[in-house]
Amino acid sequence: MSPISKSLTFGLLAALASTTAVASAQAQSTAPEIAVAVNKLARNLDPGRQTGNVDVRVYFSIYDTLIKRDFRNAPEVGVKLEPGLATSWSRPDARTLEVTLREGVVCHDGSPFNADDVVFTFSEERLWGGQSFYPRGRNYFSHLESVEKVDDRTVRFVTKAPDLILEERLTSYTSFIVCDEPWMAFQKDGVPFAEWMEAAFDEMKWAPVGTGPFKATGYRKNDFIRLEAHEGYWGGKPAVSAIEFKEVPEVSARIAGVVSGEYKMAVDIPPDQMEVVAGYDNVKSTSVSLDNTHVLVFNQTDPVLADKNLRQAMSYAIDRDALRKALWNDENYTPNGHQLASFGAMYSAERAGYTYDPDKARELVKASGYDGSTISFRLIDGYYLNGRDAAQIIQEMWRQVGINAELNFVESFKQVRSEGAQVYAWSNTYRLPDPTGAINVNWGPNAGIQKKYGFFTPPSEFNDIASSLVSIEDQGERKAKFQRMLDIFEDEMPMTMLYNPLVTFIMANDVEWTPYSLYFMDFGPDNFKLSLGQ
Amino acid sequence: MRFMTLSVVLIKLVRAFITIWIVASFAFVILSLTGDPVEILAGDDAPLEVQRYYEQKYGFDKPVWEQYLNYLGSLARGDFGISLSDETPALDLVLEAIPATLQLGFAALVFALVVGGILGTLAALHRNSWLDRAIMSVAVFGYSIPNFFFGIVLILVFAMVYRLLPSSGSGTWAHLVLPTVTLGTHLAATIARFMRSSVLEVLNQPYVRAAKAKGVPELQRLARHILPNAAIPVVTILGFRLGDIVAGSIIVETVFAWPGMGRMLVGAVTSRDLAVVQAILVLTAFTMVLANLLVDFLYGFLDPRVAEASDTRRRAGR
Repeated sequence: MSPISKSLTFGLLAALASTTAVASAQAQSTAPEIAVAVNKLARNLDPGRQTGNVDVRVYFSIYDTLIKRDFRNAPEVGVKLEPGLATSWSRPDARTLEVTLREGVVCHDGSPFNADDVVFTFSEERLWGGQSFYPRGRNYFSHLESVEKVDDRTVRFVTKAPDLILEERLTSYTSFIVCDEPWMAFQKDGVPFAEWMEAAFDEMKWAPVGTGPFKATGYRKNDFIRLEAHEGYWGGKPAVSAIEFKEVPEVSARIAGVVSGEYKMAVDIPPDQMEVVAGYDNVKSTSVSLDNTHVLVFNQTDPVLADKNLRQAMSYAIDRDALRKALWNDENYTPNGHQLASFGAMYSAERAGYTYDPDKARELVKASGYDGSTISFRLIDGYYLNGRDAAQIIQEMWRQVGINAELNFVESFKQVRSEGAQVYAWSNTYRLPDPTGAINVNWGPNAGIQKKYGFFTPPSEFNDIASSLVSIEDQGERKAKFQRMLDIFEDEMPMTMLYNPLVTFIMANDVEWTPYSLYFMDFGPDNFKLSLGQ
Repeated sequence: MRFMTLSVVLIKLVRAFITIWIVASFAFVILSLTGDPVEILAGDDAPLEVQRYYEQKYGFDKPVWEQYLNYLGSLARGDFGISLSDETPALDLVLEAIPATLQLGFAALVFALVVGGILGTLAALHRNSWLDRAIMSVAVFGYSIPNFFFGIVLILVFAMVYRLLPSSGSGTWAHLVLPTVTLGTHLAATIARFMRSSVLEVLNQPYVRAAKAKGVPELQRLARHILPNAAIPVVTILGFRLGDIVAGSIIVETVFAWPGMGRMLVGAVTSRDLAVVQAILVLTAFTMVLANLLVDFLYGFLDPRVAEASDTRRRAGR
């Protein structure tokens, strides 16, 4: 045998074994705390500053709104509203909304919730005035005239013109109620509002004070955001004592973490991973089609695309059913026009929307005099789930009707819209169940596509209707005008629709949780439970 | 003993300064060419007012040359700017992430040294046996396997199938195991191979034979005579390979969601968070330049010929 004795060899092997030996995983704590793996953490927890999907899914648990939208029991058409921080509300006239506030609600800092918090949240200088601290608020509330405290439990909202959907607005973006005391502590005489607000923002962006089921107690960039249950929550006791949102950029690591029990839930699981997930019996998945549509934009100012026959042809050439089957297991849908069923009285079920008709597409190509030149189709690789696959399929569908497109991958929307833009992939979110929170934002007279990039120049009727929709009082007239607006939009064809993407979550079997069609993740006691016996 | 003249020191300082300036400018040019920070900060569908607000707040409405000058100006004052993604000073964020990276890097280094050293020694002592061949096969495997793939295989085996270890994240010692093994394996394989040939060479040295003839027990022979001498070439290559650990940490930290600097760099690049990228790059460049500078000065201090040589070279106009 070898010159060195066996004992030495074994000694070395033992040393080796001890270095690779593993400290056993930490003992499970008995307190129900959960971790949720997300692809990216919120950028901050201020509901006025950020409204991205990565942000709202975290801070939705920290704040409440006056009125809540019931996503779980949504009717077929329209939305169901339910009391939040307001127990009831009434309309003395079309321009006025009076809300009665809930009693006994406590903020995270222990201070009582009252009308002052609401008035501060909706104050002109904070949210909706011309120079408001949060410019984003103007997008939803610039038509407010005043927000006044009637008494400690009553607040009166008055709009400049009638606003039929003010209640819906109060359920959504920038309407999350912040408690005023910690903010007002930064106020100093002689210091401009924006200045002390900025100082307060810096101090509170990771330690905000709301009234929601959880309060934020910790943050580390690229690592975690920690929320702990708010003991005095008015809606009941949350099912867990703490939630830690962990940033796990790798899809496979997110799945592995749920399978191994490290995380209770994980977000953003692509459809092609569902087979992997199905192989583990301790994990289940749930999906929802978002109130967001993947679209293709046609630049009207481009000489080739200036002819609307060609734009219409490109839309008719797309077989959306085939796309959904191939990419989304046919679990999602394509809206019939720039509207959703949740628009309620504004929604028209009869509208055909963007249809597939290859013969018509060929006719329109002929009518347009298209010379077969290559059309650039720009997209940011990896930006939209399944975006690249969809683009390749669509490229082939266009080829079938005689349109030559070339895929150009770029890095940012700045490059997407730079010189030479012809067709590009984009998405539209329906932030409110109403055209004023959807098509108006993305395509209306103040939208970047008209004002900044100039890719869409509609007939003046389109813009007139868009501007008037905010204040038309008669529901029937409002709907008729909106439907007319959609007719113009589909005829002009500055964009076509593909589908509403599906967002998929995976979770441990004992989790009872329903996803919402906006990006909110609701961990409140009504929507999140851990089943017993596990 | 003679120290370098002031002018030599100055030239070295200027060179160091230019290096850092090039790195900083490079970061600026690459990032501003490829993305739009406001779009990433405010979201692509943000109203124009919001985009304008951020453009003004962070100076993106100014011409690029002016942005560049402002950027260099604040850099010169030690101000690395504000991270756009969460509006906090970039330097604070980076400093906060450094310990995690050091912890992982150090653990990987220790792992590589211990595992590589032991395996290499074993292979040498059992030259041409089945053990030697087995160890060297493992070493070739460890050297060739890409760490992003190896990491995912480890997650699959230890987190998903056997559920022994956490798949990702940080916080406990258990979290450190998989990323350490992933990051350290490549270096361990390298060390094992070097260690083997190095030990083999030492085994044939007269002093080892003499020690054996003298009747020194084998354990003592190994500890006193063989390993210390065999370690010299290994330590030398270690210096060259440390960079691999730094580079590897970028991938390994991303795969295992380890909250260190490598992952912060990846996140900052994808979100065009110029301030953070620049802080990481400039700090890294600064550390390297400073280390080189110190070594240069140290050489000059320890070995007067270096100082004199650079002095004469300068006088000769070279």
